[in-house]
Parts: sequence; C-alpha cells; structure tokens
Amino acid sequence: MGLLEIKNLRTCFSTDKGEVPAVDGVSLSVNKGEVVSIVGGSGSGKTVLGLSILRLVSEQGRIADGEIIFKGVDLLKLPLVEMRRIRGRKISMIFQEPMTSLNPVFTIGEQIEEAIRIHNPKISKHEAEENACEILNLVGIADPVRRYSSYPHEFSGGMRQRVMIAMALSCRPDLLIADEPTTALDVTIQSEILKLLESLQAKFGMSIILITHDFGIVAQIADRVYVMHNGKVVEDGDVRQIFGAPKDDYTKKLLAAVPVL
Amino acid sequence: MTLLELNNITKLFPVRRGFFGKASEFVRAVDGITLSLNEKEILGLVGESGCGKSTLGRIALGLMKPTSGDVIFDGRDISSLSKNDLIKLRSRMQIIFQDPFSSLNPRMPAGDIVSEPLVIHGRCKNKERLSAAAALLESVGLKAEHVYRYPHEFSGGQRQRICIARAIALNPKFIVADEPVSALDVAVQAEILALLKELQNKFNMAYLFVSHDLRVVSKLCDRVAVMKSGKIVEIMPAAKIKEAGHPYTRNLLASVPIADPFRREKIDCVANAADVC
Ligand SMILES: Nc1ncnc2c1ncn2[C@@H]1O[C@H](COP(=O)(O)OP(=O)(O)OP(=O)(O)O)[C@@H](O)[C@H]1O
Ligand SMILES: Nc1ncnc2c1ncn2[C@@H]1O[C@H](COP(=O)(O)OP(=O)(O)OP(=O)(O)O)[C@@H](O)[C@H]1O
Ligand SMILES: [Mg+2]
Ligand SMILES: [Mg+2]
Repeated sequence: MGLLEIKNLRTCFSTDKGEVPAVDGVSLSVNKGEVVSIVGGSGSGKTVLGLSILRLVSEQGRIADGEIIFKGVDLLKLPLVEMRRIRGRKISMIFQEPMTSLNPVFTIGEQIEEAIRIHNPKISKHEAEENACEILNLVGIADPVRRYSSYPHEFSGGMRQRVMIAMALSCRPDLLIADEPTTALDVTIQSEILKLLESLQAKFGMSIILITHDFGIVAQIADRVYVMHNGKVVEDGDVRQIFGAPKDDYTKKLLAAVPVL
Repeated sequence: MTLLELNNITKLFPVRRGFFGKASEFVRAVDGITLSLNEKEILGLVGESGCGKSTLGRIALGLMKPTSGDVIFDGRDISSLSKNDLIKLRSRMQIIFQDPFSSLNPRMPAGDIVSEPLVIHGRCKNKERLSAAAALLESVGLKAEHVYRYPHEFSGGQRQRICIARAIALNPKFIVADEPVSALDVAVQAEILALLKELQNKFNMAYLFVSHDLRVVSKLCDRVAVMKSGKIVEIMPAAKIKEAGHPYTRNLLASVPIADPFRREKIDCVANAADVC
C-alpha cells in the first residue's frame, strides 16, 4: 500500500460555460521515499491536482469525485480541522508563485520561524531563529543573519522561491508537493536544492511529488513520471521507460521540444 | 545603431538590521555596470539568483532610479526627460515581469489587461478593443474566449503568457523580458520563442532577455552577458557560450541537468540537512 493513492479524481471549476473539469479522472500513487514527477502542458491541471490533495482549491472550484487516500485515510472525507492538521505537518507544498504565498507584511525570518513552530511548537524564540538561519543557509541564501529581517519584496525572485522551499522543508513533511520549485533559480543553485531534497528523502524517507516542465530535472531525480494533458494522465511509467520508449503522442511531442545546449 | 546605453550603473539597497546586526548596511545589487544594446538585438542576461538582473532591467526602463550612473535610450538621457516625453517613451519600451501574478491587476479581466496599453496610448478605439484583445491572447496560444477571465482563473503558464501579450501589444522598440518563459512547458516555450523572434524581425524589436536557462539563451540571443554579484563578468556572442572562459560561466554550463535518465549522476547528500530540517 502506497503512502498516497489518488483514485479517479475530478476537480471542476464553474465558469460562464458551466462546470469544466481541470482535473478529469486522474489516478496516481506515491510510495514512501519515492519521487514522482508530474509533467505536462501549460494549463493541463498539474497545479489544481496538487492543490486538490491539500483541499486548497479556490472557491469557484470543487472536488467533484474521487478519493485521495493518504496513509490509509481518505482526505476528502476528513473534517476540516483534521485536514488543517495535515497541511504543513504531514504534507507541505511549495507553491508555483512564491510572491503570492509569502505574506508581504511579515519578515522572511518571522515566516520561517512560524513554519518551524508548526513542527516543533515548544521551541524557544532563540532556537527558532537559529534554526531558521540554518535553513536559509541550506537553501543558499548568503548572509542569512543580515537578511533575516528583510521583507519579501526586498528579496529577488529566486530568493523568495528558496524561502518557500525552506518553509516547506522546515516542518519535515512525509509528502512534499513541489510545484515548479526551481523555475526562478540558476542551475548551480538548482542543483544544490535538488541535492537537499534527495538528502531528506534518503534520510527520512520523504516522498516528493515534483511538478515541473524541466525534463532535465525529471531525468535527474524522478523515479516515476506521470504525463498530463487536458486534465487527464495520458501516460505514466518508470522514468527510463518514459524517456526511452514513450508511447503517447503528446509525451513524444514534449520530449521532442526539449531544448539542448 | 545603439538603442540603449547603460553607463556605470550602480544601485544600493539599504538592509534593515538583523536581530543582532548593525543598522544601515547596504546590498550592492548593481555594481558599476556599463552595457550597450543595439537596435534589433537580443541580449541575454544570465547569472546567479540575486545577482541583480531584475534590478538592472528595471533601471534600464526607468522604472527605478539608479544610485549612480546614466541610462541613455535612443540618444537621450531618460533621467532628464519631461513627464510628457517619458510617457511617450513608455509606449516604446515594455517589461515582462518575473512574477506574473503580482504584476496583473486581480480585478481586471485578461482582455482588458492586454489591451490596456493600446487604449492608454490611443492606438485603438473602444469598439475595436475586444477584437484586439482576442487577437493578442491568441498570439500567445490562449483562446479568444479567455478575454473575460480573471488572472486567478488561469494557470501559472497562462498568466505568464498574458504578461507577454500585454508587453507586445504596442510593438515596442525594446522589451525587458524577465524570465518570460520560465513557467511554460517546452512545447509552448518553443512557440513563444518563435513569436519573440518573429516580432524582432517584423518590428526591429530589441530585448534584454533575463533567463537562467542557458539552453534557451543560446538558442534565442545574439549576445550573452554573464552577471555575478552586481557585475558583468563576461560578455560574448551567444553562439560561443559553450566556449566561455570565466569559471562561473563554466560552472553554470556544467550544472545544466541532462535530460537523460540513463546518464543520471549520483548526487552526494547534504551532510547537515537532516539536523536542520
Ligand atoms: N479558479 C479557476 N477558475 C476557472 N478555471 C481555472 C481556475 N484555476 C485554474 N483553472 C483552469 O484549470 C486548468 C488547469 O490549471 P492548472 O493551474 O492546474 O494548470 P497547470 O498544469 O498547473 O499549468 P501551468 O504549467 O501553466 O502552471 C487551466 O486551464 C486553468 O485555466
Ligand atoms: N526593493 C529592494 N529592497 C532591498 N533589497 C532589494 C530590493 N530589490 C532587490 N533587492 C536586493 O538586490 C539584490 C538583487 O536583486 P534582483 O532582484 O535584481 O536579483 P536577480 O538577479 O533578479 O535574482 P533572481 O534570479 O533570483 O530573480 C538581491 O540581494 C535583493 O535582495
Ligand atoms: Mg501550474
Ligand atoms: Mg529576478
């Protein structure tokens, strides 16, 4: 039995044309310690799928059908209070657009401290600060002590993205949903972040759902791959099988468009 | 013909005191950069996260004042322009922001967002606005029916394309494109790059193309500038990037992940990761 088992998930949005499915009958599984990558076209439903797992789909949307079994429990049947306890503790998400999920009125340091407290509520102020600085250091923010009291708008795009990563990791989740986590990072920092994710996976058996359009990253760290197109999974399999012998036409089209240096 | 000249640009930002730091320290975001861009040239700007690329882009468009140094656009120092001249100039230079969501007005439907520049600069009558908006959205691979949708109803990559459509609406002379294709899948990315190239040829557009994707940069750009800690460490024809000499550029090249799972490298673990997280 896997850590996460999604069965026939449908998430719809109400629009002026009636209800349209953004995720349309997706089934997917993630085992403990596994890196599962979701690739696919812009607008194919990857982010909505990730948000559905945490039940964070916006008001106009609703999960119409399916099951999301996490550690044997259907998340869709949990009362909201219990769902909140899972978010940020058992499952955390690195959101695609960092600026929109960081709070503009709190400093970077305060926001990471808060994330640390979720995992470790009894920690002292001083320890939380030290811990936050170390995590910032780990994601490659130079001089974290000096930058601790900066506000999100004073950070560059890639620095904000790394703050998001630091926050998501600080609560040591069983499952990390990382939605395009390294799009704003140069390749040298990107490879540091990938190393960090792999270390946590190896040490704690953290599982990762990695949403990305960068096939280089997929090739580097994914165990299995799901390819999405128009809300559906069109192909899934072992990473070597997807790259080496793709079956679906859309998968082939994507692989053919991968830029090379 | 030179379109844009940056002369010895420096930008300092104050840093608030840390919890045991001293007051009034500064980040040197841009540190004495001199650079010029020709008409119809695509100049790639690559470099470490936080090295000052976005800041330099904003300064080049006059959206931010440098601490010192001059910005000359089309032969004129933009800091000396009157308000009216500056507005006129704005129609000839545009920006695609790095963070699409926060640069889109959440209360405006996509159609209004992309056609707004046309209306502001009197390039389109009210009754033509809808069809102009639909055409712009279609040019970036979105649908005409998306004109009534609000920014939050789009995916990340769709929002990024709305920003691109807005920037090209006026066929400007110069666009600062700050990571414009970072949220796009490779198929759509290839289409958008082809579109940018087409506009370059048709309207003699020049771009300052900020990107961390060396594969994209080497394909699209004429020249590439490599930045590190606020300085340009190397500048070369994009076709020659693989022969770059600076150690930082070599390191960048070596870190590009290879899209082949059969050639996966063993990753060494980060020693103290487990203690901290
Ligand atoms: N609130 C909403 N209302 C209506 N439609 C929505 C809403 N949110 C998302 N959608 C639509 O659902 C579809 C899937 O969106 P999603 O954000 O999951 O795509 P994605 O695969 O993450 O794409 P990208 O790679 O561009 O981020 C898109 O067509 C999008 O326009
Ligand atoms: N408004 C601001 N106030 C204070 N510091 C700032 C401000 N804007 C940028 N900085 C700092 O200036 C430096 C350069 O930032 P910039 O956004 O130009 O980097 P970048 O090269 O675009 O990085 P990225 O690739 O991560 O987007 C960073 O250290 C950043 O924290
Ligand atoms: Mg998305
Ligand atoms: Mg930037």
